[in-house]
Amino acid sequence: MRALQFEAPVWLGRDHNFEVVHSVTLFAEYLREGRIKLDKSVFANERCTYQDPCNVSRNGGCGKDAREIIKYLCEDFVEMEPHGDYNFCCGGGGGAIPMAGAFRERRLRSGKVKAEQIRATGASICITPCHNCYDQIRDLNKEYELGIKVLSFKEMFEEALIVPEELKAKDEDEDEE
Amino acid sequence: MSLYELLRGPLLWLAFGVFIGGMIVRVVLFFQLSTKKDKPIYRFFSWKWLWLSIFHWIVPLNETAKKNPITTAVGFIFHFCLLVTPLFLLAHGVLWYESWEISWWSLPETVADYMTLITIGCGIFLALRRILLPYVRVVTTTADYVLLGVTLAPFVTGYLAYHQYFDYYTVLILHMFFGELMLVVIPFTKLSHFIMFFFSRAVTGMEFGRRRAPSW
Amino acid sequence: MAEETAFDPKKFKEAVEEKTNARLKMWLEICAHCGLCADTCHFYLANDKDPKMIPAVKGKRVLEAFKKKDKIDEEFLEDFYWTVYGDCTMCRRCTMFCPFGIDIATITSTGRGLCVSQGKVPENLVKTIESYYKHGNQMEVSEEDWIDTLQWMEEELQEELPGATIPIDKKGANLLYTVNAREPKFYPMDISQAAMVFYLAGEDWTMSSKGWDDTNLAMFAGDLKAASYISQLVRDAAEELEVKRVAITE
Repeated sequence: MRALQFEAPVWLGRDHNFEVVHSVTLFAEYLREGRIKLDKSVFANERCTYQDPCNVSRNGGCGKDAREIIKYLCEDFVEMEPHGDYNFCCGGGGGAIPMAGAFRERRLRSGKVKAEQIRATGASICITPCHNCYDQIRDLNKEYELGIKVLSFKEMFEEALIVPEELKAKDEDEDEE
Repeated sequence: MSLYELLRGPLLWLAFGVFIGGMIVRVVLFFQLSTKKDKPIYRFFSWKWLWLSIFHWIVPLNETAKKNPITTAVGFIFHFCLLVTPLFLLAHGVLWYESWEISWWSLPETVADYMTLITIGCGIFLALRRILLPYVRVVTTTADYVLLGVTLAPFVTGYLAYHQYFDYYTVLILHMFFGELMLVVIPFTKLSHFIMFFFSRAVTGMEFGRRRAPSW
Repeated sequence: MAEETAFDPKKFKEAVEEKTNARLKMWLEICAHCGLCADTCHFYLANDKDPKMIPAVKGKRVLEAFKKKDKIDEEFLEDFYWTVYGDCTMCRRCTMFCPFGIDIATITSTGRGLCVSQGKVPENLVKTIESYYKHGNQMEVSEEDWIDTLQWMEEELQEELPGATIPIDKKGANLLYTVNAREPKFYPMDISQAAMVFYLAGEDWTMSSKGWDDTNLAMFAGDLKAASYISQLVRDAAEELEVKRVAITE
């Protein structure tokens, strides 16, 4: 994200002749324009919080778009403190996840701040639109026994998207034994 | 030539020369190197983010100010007095007039006197902060104390001279010496932040700005 | 590419000279050592306020490296390596709290670049970089496996939504969707979920058979030559397909 949109034009010496957009911005656009619709009741019994990935919010400028999606998705939403552009890194960024090996221990230790932030929200779902954060928070969930579900927007959409009847597969044709 | 005449004449010239010349060289070097090695600054140049970034830190309007209100307040007052007091001190104005026949508004003497004390007080606070807070202590170097001393020395001696404590002539000589010393070291030390602050804020402001994020 | 280079102070010096720029010089000099960055860093907070984790201290290590140039020794390099790769995720939080806006992330990244000159890069990052060169993605997914995964996900999706498709290499589409190579490798459902959203939104979209991995671990490794190469792959794919927008996965 950060690499392609903001750094690549520097490395490659000229602007792209296409626009780079993060999924979060794109999904927010679809919802705003009414191109997709979500059923808010699906997650009505869950308290959600949102992990701002450093390279999506602070270094990617998508924090507001994420909040917009959440308005269509969650009834009970609690922000971490601090959040948005001022959010703490989960500890999995900067290549820390793929470095693995001897770096793993440092990564989990540095995630303590994030784990406590999440715990303080009392959330049952932590949404994050970044694979690094996703893997890191899943690890933190085990390491610090947070007892949460870590989900991406896409995973939540899969359950909450309102699919028009005419597009659905005909149930009676499917004989699943 | 007496010591006074030396400090009032050639050495003062030298100090101003090194200070102004040194800062010009610093700025020229920055542009020279950055046009070659820091191309993103120019490619993503934006007056908007440049000013916003500088503005939010000149008037303390940022997260750090909220998080550390006391340090921010002290830092702000310290820098304000540090710049305003010597520039608008009546006694300094008289010297400018003597030499160049130019004059400008000056501070009432009692106000300037209090501002001097405030500057010293803030300086002591900053020194104590370095000594007492463990996370500031570990990043502090000897140079930090020396430079704080060099910055405060003209104010301490100036205060003593104004009130004619101790031997006036000696104190005055020391005051002039420290004032000139401070000017001379600015271009070569972290005190150069008095100009480079604007450059640093500008480049970071633009870098964050092009990502739609504030740097304050 | 981060080839296996042995400890070589001369190369280190060359890297220092190449990477010196006006911003770094300025930042390394003007830091007032005010300590305001300390408790903005999650490493500092999570490690019981270990002074080594203060952003300014980490920045100072890079300054030392810049001063030492070819006078570095292996012990210094080892310690330096752990600082720049292990103690900073380049999240840029400290920069927001720094009165001068000193960009520790850029300084760390430069520090990683110096390590690259010594071939001292975390083994697993080197592997991913090799994979980018060989397969065009970080996870050694071959083009065949990639296409298979897309088709498999399309079939899965069609069980729910018979009309949905996952277009591949559709020229002139409005949107090119790129993913993280962890998706075909570990989370293939991510792809069908995205396809579902695009289908319902009526988006004119496509995926590419090449240049579909939008991650760039070379950037994190500090290897800017490889990083440029990787972003060129995606750019080439986008230009080849003449798309208007490139979307990046979550």
